[in-house]
Amino acid sequence: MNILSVEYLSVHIHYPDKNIYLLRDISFTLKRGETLAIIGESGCGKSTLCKMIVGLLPPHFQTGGTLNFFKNDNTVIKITNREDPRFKNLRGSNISMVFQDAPGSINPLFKCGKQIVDVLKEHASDSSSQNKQQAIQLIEQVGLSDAEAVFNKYPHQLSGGMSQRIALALALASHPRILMADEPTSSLDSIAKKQYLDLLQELKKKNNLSLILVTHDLNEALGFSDSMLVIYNGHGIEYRNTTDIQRAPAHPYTNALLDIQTALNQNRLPRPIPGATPSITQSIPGCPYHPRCQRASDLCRNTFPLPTALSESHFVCCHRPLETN
Amino acid sequence: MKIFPFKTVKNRSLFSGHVAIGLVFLFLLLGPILTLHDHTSQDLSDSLQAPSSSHWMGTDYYGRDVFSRLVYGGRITWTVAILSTFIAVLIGTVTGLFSAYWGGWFDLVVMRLVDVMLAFPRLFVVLLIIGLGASSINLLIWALALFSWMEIARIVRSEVMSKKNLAYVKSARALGFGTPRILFKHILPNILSPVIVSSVLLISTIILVESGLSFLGLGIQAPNASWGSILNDGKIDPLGTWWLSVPAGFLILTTVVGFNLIGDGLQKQFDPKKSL
Repeated sequence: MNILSVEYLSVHIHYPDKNIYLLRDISFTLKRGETLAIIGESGCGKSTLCKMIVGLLPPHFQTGGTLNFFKNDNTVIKITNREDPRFKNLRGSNISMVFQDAPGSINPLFKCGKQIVDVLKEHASDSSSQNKQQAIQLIEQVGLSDAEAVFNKYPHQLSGGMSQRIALALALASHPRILMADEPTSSLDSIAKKQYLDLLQELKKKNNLSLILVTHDLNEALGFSDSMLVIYNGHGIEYRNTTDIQRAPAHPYTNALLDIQTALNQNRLPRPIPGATPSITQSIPGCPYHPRCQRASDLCRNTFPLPTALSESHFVCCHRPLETN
Repeated sequence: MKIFPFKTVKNRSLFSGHVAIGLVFLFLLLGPILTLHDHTSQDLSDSLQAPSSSHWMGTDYYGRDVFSRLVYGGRITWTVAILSTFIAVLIGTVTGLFSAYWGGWFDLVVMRLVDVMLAFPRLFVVLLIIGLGASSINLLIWALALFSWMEIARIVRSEVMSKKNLAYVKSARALGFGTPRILFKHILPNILSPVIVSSVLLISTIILVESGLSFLGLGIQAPNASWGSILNDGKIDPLGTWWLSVPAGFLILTTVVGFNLIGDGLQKQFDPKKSL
């Protein structure tokens, strides 16, 4: 059962002489209870995609495409315009987000507990004593001991790892059905990272969440997700369930990434992908990956490969995909 | 914040500002208890008396007791200054908030209006309004307020601009809070300190403008007093009738310096990089 399906999302900035595309034709579906990993290099548009889905892009970014939010009774709320008043009501109650800069995403002026209570109040109509109880429960749920003390602390009194968890508690306080985490572990060391990911997994089960995990750590994505969307230069180049993508990637870029990760896991020296990531302002004719691709043909150099379905729920943007059987 | 013991005062300007304003405030508060004279009742046989045991600060041309005129005049001066500052801060904060948050044409229109209004010298515009309209305290308060909100609006706008793209504001949006809620509960508390500082400084500016107007005879009208008009009463012979000019001038000076010291002190106190 789907909970969110995204169709042909695009984001561009309009300049007098040209349009610069940050995202182009991104499509994927998120099933109930599933974890979707969005992976890609820095600057490929992962965070832009997140902000697009929660409607936080600045007004001068032009957006296109459709967001379909499925309710519990399977009715669809179709959002094609971000000014749609229904979109505001979906934020928080349906989808909420943990930001990359977690300490910065907590208001520095108020105690953590009060902020969680504020969110609880906004999304429920309980009495305030219960709210406090719930907030303390949430703080305990995100794995902080001595929740009562944390409740009364100001954000600057928390360590980086703690504020990461408080940011998570804030995101969960609105009882969302989808939780989006934008590189939540990028500021944590590897032990804290592992603990945080385990915590996410546990909370996901406990609260019936569907999870969108944005990361540039391929290991994290492989070990953690049910399906995967690979973004390259603003294009969603491959989307498939994780086990199959790991077994048989169709896009040469995915393949190259997986090779590197396998080499690293086996302590071998990886073979780097030749060339460099193109800048988002550069317009590349044909497939954006062709200058770095060994399989590139004349077709790749001239025409953009439209997303094609190789099987159900497996999309790839490539003229010459690898064998997937 | 601790209430500092006298020897270890760290923020000297804040402390001395509070002392100055506190003394003037006590004078205004307790004055009516200390004086037996009505501040408007005239006694021409008692005209221009020097300070004595019955009139602690002498009498003016019409034989009115200067001490009680200073008390009641000061009360009016303070009321006018505080009320018009309050109105100005309210207008400035709300316009600044929405101007910065909405941006676009609204921001453009409001900020050009601010530019235009700042181009008029405040004293002369208020003088003109008072001169053309019926001279009343209400009009005075509104005229002062309507020509004082622009600086506050500019400060608020620039502060909001710097805060509105921070992660915690975005995160509040992602959590489903609406725009007014975000503006007033998430952004406003974070930008309050410069607003408080500049509104304290605005009080002293308005006291000066009001005293100036009253000195020119256009502010508070007789029989009511104001420090500015008492100063005016003594202007024929400032040295001969020193009890008219010196105390009124001294009170204006103390109040203005006091509020300025508090403003400076608060600025230091709010500064996160302070090395007090």
